[in-house]
Amino acid sequence: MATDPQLSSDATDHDGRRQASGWSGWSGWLVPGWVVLLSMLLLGPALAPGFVLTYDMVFVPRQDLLPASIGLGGGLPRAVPQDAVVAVLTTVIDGAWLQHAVLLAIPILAGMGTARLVRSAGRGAQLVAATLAIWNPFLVERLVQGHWALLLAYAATPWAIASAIRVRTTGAGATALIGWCALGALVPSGGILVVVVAVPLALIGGVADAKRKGALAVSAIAVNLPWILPALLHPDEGSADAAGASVFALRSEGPWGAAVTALGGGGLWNADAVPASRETPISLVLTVLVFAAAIAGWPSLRRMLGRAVAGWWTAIAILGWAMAVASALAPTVWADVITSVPGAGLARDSHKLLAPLVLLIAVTAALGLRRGWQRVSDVTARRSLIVAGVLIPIALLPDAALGVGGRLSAVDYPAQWHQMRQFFADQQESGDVVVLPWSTFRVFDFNAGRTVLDPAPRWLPRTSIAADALPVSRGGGIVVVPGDDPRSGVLGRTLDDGRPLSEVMPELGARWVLVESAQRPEPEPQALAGLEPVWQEGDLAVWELPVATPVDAQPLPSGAWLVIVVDLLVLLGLAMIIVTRLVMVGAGMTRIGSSKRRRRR
Amino acid sequence: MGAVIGPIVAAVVGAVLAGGAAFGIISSQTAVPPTVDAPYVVYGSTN
Repeated sequence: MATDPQLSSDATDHDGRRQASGWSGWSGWLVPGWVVLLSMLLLGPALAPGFVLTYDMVFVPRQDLLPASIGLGGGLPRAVPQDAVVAVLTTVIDGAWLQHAVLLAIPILAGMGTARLVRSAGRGAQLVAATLAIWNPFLVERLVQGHWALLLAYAATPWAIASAIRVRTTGAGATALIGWCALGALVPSGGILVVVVAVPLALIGGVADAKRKGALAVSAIAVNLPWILPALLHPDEGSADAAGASVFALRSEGPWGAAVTALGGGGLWNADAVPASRETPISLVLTVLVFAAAIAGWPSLRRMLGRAVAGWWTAIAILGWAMAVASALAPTVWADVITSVPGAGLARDSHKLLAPLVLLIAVTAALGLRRGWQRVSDVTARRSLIVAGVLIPIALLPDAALGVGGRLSAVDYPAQWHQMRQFFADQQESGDVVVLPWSTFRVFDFNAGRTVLDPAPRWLPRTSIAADALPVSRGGGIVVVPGDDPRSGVLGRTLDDGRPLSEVMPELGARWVLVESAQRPEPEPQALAGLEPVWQEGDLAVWELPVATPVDAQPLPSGAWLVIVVDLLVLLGLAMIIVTRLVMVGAGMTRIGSSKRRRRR
Repeated sequence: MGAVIGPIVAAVVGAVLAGGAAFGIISSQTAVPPTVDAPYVVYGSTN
C-alpha cells in the first residue's frame, strides 16, 4: 500500500502513534484483526454455506448475461452494470461464494478504509473509526434491505478519498482512484457517491497537471457510462413518480424525529428492515455520543487531511443530510424535485444520501475520542477509554450482531430451481418468459419467510418479464409505486382485465409462463387459458404457447450498439489498468528479490 | 496487556449479546419479520 505523504506527514501534527494510543507493543495486525473479527460478528450466519436472500439481494448459482444485465431490458438500469458483473463472475465462481466474498468485503473495506484515513492518529483512533464505519445503522439497515452494491460503494469511498488525496499531493494514484470509482459504479447511486465525494478532491487544486486531471475526470465519468447511457436511452430518463418519492423518503426511527435519526445514520424507509434497538432510547444515546465526539474531532480532521479536503467532504455530507431530512420534513417539495428533475429519481430513496455523513462521522468521532484519551496520562486508563470507544457503538446497536439477529442467514434453493433453469436451457425455440404470480416480491418457506425480490429473473437463462411495481405498506393501506418496464405494464393491465396472457404474449415476444404456485397472489385460471402445461417440479410449473404460435422477436432499443461498444471499451480499459498494476507489482517484487540476492553475496 | 484486553473485549461483547437476547432485541437465526396480510407480498413498510 502506497504511503500518502499528506496523511503520513500529518503524523507530526499529532503526538505520534505510540503516544496517541499507547499500543506500542501491539503488532500491526491489531486493526486488520479487529476489522475481520467485527465483520464476522456482524455477518454471523450469513457466512454459512448457501445464499442470503433478503429484500433486493438475490444471488443465484449461475446468472446469465442478458440484455437487461447491461440496461437493455425494459426497465430503468437500477442494477446495471451490477447484474452484468455478477453474470460474468458467476461463469468462474459459484454465486454463493461470490456473495460471501461481497458480504465480507463490505465491512472489511469500510473498516480498513476509514482506519487508513486516520492512520497517523494511532491505532486507538483506527480501531474506533473502523468500528463506527462497520457497526452503524446505515450499513446494517442497507444490508438487511439487500443493497450490497451501494454498500460496496460506501466501503470504497474512504479508499477513494485516500487515493484522491494522494493525487492531490503527489500527482500519483489516479489509477487507484479510477478503480475505486469503478467499484462504486456497479449501481448508479454508488457511482455517484464515490465520484462526488472523492474525485473533486483530486481535480480542484493540488499538484497534478491539467492533462492528468482531465484524464482522471474523463475516466471517472467513463466508468459510470455503463449505467448512464442506458438511463439516457430509457423513455423515463430516471425521473420518478410522486408515490415513489413519498414512500421512499427518510423515516424517523423514534420520537426525536428524522433529522436526529439521520445524524445517527438511520432512517431507511422500510421499518421492517430496521433493527429493533433503533426504536429505543439507546439509539438516541448512541447518536448523541458519537455526534458529540465527531464535533470534537473535526478540527483534527482538518489538520490531518487539509482544509480543502475536510471542507469538501463535510459540505457533501451536510448537503446529503439536508436533502435526506428534506424528504421527510418537506415531502411535497421533495416529491416535486424528484418528479420534475431528470435523473433525480436516483435520490428518491433518500437514506442513501447519508453515506458521506456516516463515513465522515466515523472518522471525526474517532479523532474526537482521541482528543479525550490524550488528556489522560495513565496508560491503563487511556487504554480503557479506547476499549470503551470501540465497544460502546456495538453495545448501543446490539441487534446488528450475528447477521442482524439471524435475518441474514444463508439458505439453499430447493432442487426444482436448478431443474427449472435446465428446462429453459434445453429449449430450442426463441422467446421470453413471463413470471407469475404477478407480484415483485416473494416469501419462501425455504428462506424462513423473509421477503425477497423474486429470484426467477436471475435464475432464468432467458429474458423474463415480471411484475415491477413496488407495493409498500403504509398507514394501514398499501401504496403501489408503479414500475417502468412497458412490457410489464401491458401484461399487468391484461391480468387486471381478466384476459388470458396468451392474447398479448406473442406480440411481446414471450413464449413461456413460469408459475411459482406457492406464492401470492394465486393466478386466476383464465390467465393461463390458451397455454399448455409443459413442465412441473414441486411448486414450479411452466406453461407454453401452442408450438405453432409465432412469437415476435423483441428488437434491442435504438442506441443499443453504443451501450455495448462503450461497455466493452470500459471493460478493456479497466482490464488494462489491472494488468498494468499487476506487471508493476511483479516488477517491483523482482527488483526486491534481486536486491536481496546481491546483499547476500 | 494483550492477555488482559482480550478477555475484557470477549466478556463485554458476550454480555451485550446475552443481554440483548434476554430482552428480545437480538433474536434467533430463525427470526421472521411480521407477516403482512396483503393480496401480494409487500416490499416493506413505512409504518
